[in-house]
Amino acid sequence: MNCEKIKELILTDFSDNRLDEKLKSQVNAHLSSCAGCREFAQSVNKIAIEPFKSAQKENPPDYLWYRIKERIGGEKPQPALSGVFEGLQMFFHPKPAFALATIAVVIIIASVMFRPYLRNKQANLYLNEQIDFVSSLGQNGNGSSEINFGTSVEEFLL
Amino acid sequence: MQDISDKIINLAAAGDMDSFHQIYKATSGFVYNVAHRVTNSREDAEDVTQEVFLKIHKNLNNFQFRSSFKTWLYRITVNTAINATKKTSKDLSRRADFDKAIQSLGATPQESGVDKEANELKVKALLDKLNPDQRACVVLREMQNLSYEEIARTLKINLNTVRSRLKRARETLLAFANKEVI
Repeated sequence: MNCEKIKELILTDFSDNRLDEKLKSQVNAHLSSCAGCREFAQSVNKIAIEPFKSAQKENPPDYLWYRIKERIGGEKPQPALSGVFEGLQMFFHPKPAFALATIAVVIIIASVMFRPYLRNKQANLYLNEQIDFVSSLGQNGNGSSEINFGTSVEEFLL
Repeated sequence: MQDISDKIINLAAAGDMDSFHQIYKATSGFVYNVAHRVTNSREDAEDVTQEVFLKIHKNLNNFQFRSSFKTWLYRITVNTAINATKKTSKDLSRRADFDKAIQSLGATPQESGVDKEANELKVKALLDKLNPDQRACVVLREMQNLSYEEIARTLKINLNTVRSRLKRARETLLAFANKEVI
């Protein structure tokens, strides 16, 4: 094996202890006779491997669990739904944009459908008032068609 | 990282917070440390850890036990950390401790006297020279001691890609150290 191949192995499988015994002994034999590759192997270990191996491991701060717990709150994990049920879930737990869009559509449909009815209702109300008024003209005590406006001028004339 | 039984996973999936807390206690060290090294920031590591556990809680019911829980957790952690790193893309050279980190590259822990702090700065400076994908490979290999096969499964890449990312990462670190120190 030449130095190029040895250096490639040093950068990968040799340093990560993945070589079989035969290949490993070939690399070691080369290193014992080649100062350049030996120095390269030492540099790889010192710069690119050892600092990480001896790096400190830390535990997450205690408050992190409480933060996560608070975020989870009372919400339950999402049930595993599929197909139709997944679609239906949208209606029971709508997203804000979907909910707003649905409300807007319902209002528009309702206003279009009930417009004629509302118009008729107003007309009926007016007619009923008129009928009541006209009919009240003919219902004055003993059948006379007197209209009492309740003024002194009226009393004088009548 | 401690093993977690299927029973605990199923209970947590059903909404049992005590079981979910057990999962957190068993795995949060791994998640936090990987997040810390991939983002190269403690502050970002906290955010990533929180995001990872919220994702796990939300999706536990969809976990099918086809892959191991560990692999699933590794994948969520590394992907969340890589995404956070790409989003923030912090520049270590603007930090006050950068010069100290560069100086520490030439010293071995034994020579420096303040071993842990010096090594910590060195690790920070070195990781900053790698792209997020290379960083994830180095962190999983050197710090979490995962095999090439486990890294390949976690990152959904093939074995040769793992090998080539580690090779390029180490070449980059050597070039950086030679340029800055020697």
